[in-house]
Amino acid sequence: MPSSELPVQRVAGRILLFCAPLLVLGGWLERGLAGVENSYSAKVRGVGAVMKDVEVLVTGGSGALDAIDPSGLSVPAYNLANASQSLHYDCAILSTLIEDTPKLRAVVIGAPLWYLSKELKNSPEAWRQHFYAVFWRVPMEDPPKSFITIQQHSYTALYTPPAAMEYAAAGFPPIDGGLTADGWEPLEVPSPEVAASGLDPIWVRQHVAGHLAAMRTESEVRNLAAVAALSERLNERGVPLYFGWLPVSAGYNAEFGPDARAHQRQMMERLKADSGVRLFDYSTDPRFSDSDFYNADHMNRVGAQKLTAVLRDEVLAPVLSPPVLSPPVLSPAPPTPALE
Amino acid sequence: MAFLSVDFLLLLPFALVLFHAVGGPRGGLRAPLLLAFSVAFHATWSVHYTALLLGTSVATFGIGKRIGSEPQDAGKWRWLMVGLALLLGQLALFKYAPALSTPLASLVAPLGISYTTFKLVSYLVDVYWEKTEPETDVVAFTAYSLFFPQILSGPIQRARDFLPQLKQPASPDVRAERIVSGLRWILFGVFQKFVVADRLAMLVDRVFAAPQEYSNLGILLAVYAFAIQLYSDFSGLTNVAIGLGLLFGISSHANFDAPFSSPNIQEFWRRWHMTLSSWLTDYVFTPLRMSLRNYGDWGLVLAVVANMLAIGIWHGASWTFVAFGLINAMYVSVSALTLKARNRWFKTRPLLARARKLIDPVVTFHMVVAAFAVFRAGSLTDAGYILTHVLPLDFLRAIDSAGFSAAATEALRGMGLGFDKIYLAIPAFLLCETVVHLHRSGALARIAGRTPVAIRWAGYHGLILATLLFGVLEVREFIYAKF
Repeated sequence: MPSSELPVQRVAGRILLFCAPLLVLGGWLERGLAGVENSYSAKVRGVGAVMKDVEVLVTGGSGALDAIDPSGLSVPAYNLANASQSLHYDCAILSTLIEDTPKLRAVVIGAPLWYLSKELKNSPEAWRQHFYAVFWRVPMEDPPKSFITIQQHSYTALYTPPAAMEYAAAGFPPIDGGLTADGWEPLEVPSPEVAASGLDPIWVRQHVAGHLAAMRTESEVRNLAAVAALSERLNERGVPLYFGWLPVSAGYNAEFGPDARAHQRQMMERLKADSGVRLFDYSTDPRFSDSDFYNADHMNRVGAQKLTAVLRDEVLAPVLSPPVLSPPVLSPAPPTPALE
Repeated sequence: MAFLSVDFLLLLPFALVLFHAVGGPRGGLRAPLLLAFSVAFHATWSVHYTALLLGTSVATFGIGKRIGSEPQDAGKWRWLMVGLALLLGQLALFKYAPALSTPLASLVAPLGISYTTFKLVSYLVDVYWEKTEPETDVVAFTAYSLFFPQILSGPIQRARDFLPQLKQPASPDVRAERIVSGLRWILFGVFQKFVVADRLAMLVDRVFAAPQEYSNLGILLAVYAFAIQLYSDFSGLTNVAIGLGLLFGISSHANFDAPFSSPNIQEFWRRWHMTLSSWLTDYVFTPLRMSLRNYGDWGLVLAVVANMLAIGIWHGASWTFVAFGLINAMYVSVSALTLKARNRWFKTRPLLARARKLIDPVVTFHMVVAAFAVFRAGSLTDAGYILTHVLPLDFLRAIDSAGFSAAATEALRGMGLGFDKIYLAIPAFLLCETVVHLHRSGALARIAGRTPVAIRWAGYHGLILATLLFGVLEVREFIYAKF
């Protein structure tokens, strides 16, 4: 029948018929993607399973995700950190967990040097905000102005159609990055070539330049307020909040520069003075060498285990009970001036 | 609410069902419904500006009636001037005052003010010239001026074309056919926008932001890419607008007609943004040409310069837009003044005349690409740098010393051709151009008529999946929405 003879109702019916295969494909993708384990769903499930017993919660960005192995802390602990995570999400996630973690005794935020000036919404990975809204049910840093945010209602939109098709072709595999049961992402000790490229001065310069360019004064105001509010809630329960810098390579430190470091340090001191946040600083600790790093600001498995032991013995020991009795795993530590 | 946003796409079916269900066979509630949809669409951007555009439309409606009822020419003329002063004054205030006056620097132009102004000016002038009767239905008239599919970048539809379609709706058969046709236009426009324009935008934005940081080869690629991006973005948007209009039973003129294959620059401007070109021809160029007809070729040149300068300056208060207008004025003037002589010369040389058919579109395309580079540049200084660094001589020298592969890698470093998959835009653009040319020649309709429905539908499904898989789906602003 020529289309000119079609009445409007019949056209509507044909449109529905036309859409049917697309709806079937979409439904199949949604069903498959709903079962895909990603780092967010894995952490929601993982921390949910240990909530009643957990004593230490660790959080932060990818640096903390890779650098702190909860199993090395000698008490039940969980690593909530994730790639590109920002303080907004650290604080929001912890806030949802405080009431349901009766044995919680310490919270550790393992921060990169620029953490207090960073927000996810200003980064190229702003798309990750939707994952927090979907899996953690925490509000986005930068809520969209639209009435409907499709990423929060469709897994295909959340993962993007090309990625959804790719996962479908692979049989919807887990994409959680090889997390351990307690939320740590161990990075292998890289081959000499990979290690060299991760510490390559040009790459490090560009990497740090990206961090410096993404630092925002308005982000600092929001971040300081979020940490202060979290600290207040934790203080009410008698749980100390530790905030400190993780080790970075010498090249990263050099590129970051003394002015930016002093500015960040000043903000950390404000947190300590105003909110009772306890600070630590391993960013220039000579006990960590290039062989401990995967790249300039991410530790490999060996470096992570080394740092975890240091955190356990030097930072968390005063609050953990029974006292940590394991023998020191390192040679005697040189004084770290900023360490509490 | 943006076109092609999820909000818009989810609300559209409800609006369509309502419109076709209660619109009534004789128009009935069509005009009030269309007006309500348009007001709602505008209000999602700004309630205040919606009220302003609504007020301007009602005022124009009133002025049109006064022009029609005035017995004397002088009275008609006076009211026309009042209307034009109101409309053009408002447009100038929003488009140029922010650049010229510090206290007004934060003034933002209401969405669609340009295209609403074009429509209202043409209505008043047509009433004055007695080409159209003054409209008597204020709701229908306001539905015309604020018609939401056309608000971002046209097409600029005349009242005498739009209002009869609104008041006397087509038969159900034609309405049904328009719905199907509208969906095809929308699908094609969305593909042009997401797969071609927005992918090329990643390259164009990088290079034009800091041309000094890129090699000559990189600049050359970005200059070509921008011409294709602009065309795909703009024609994609107007194709979506035409399609949306058809869904609501309103048929409008096409806005592009394969402009990149134009044999000369005059023809290019007849095929590019056709509804604006025809608007300017009717209301700027022809009146000027008539009043300057005693000045011969100089009169023609003056009319062309005024016309092209109007096109350039309409885009905003920037010297690059002025330069764009002047470059095109030069192109069109020289081409128009020499066309007859060139035709005579080629007439006596048949072999060259045949070659000319192939060469002319290529030359015209490159002239347009150069003018668009000036249009897109951040400043006249940048435009100068870009135009003086498009010849990839450095690349040729590097091939000589380092070999092609190493030279190309170095010259294209940091352009994202690989990691942003910008190359995908090229086959997508060629596909679009093939469709456009087949449509133009009538072959597309013939092929579609001979193709079984299942295969046609498979093709449409393929286009939808290709858009989802290869499109850049973060909603970017349409380039022409800001003008």
